[in-house]
Amino acid sequence: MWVPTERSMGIVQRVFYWHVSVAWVSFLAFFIVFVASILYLVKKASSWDHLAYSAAHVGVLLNAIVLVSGSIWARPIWGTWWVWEPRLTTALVLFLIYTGYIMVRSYSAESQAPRYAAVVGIIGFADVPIVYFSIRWWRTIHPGPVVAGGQGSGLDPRMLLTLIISVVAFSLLLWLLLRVMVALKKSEDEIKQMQRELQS
Amino acid sequence: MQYFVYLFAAYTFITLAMLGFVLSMVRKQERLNREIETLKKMLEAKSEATQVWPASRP
Repeated sequence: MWVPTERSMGIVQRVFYWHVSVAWVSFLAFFIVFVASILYLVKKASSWDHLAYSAAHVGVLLNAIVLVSGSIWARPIWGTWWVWEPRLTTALVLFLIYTGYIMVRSYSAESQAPRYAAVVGIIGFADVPIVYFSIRWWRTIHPGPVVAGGQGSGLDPRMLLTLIISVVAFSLLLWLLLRVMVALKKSEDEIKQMQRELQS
Repeated sequence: MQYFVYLFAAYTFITLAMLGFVLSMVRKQERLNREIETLKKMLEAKSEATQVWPASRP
């Protein structure tokens, strides 16, 4: 293997390359929800709502992957699957917030759902910086930042390059999934329009 | 190679989760395409019926 094995954790540390990059890309997805929700409320264009809806779905999937892969990584290193410490707890809250976003979309009246969901999407984004900074603000069992973490942090150049490649790959995957999801949402709207025409 | 099983489990889970999501989207797109085709046919039939009806009126 090209990338070196970490000294203290051994081979299981390699979960890091997917776990961290998926976490960053999930933050990007929630940022897209945040921006698209604001633009939807301002411009009332359904294309922004479609983007926010799609990004929320992909974000929840990525966030679930972060929680589960982190838990699998924690088991051999911490000796437990889960600890109620700041990083894990705020990440779980983030997952629940955007699951709530999807539930609002599903259970609200059709005409109101995009507006209600946009509000949840905007307010919910407040948890993203809390998740990111939780390991700097509070004492935690979770490892500190290894990129831009100040003195004492840092990565071997090969590890850093592997992480960057992984982040780029997952960002491209996010872009691809968003394109497909937006197309699906447009198809759903087309069907609703045709059903209305049939009934009229 | 200690803990290899955990590394394998994590990578397998991530891969399967992604594949599952993509597969569900593909299936949904196929279902929506079928639904759109059916609705298009129903709309065509409806517009033909409304065009024929006034001409056949006595």
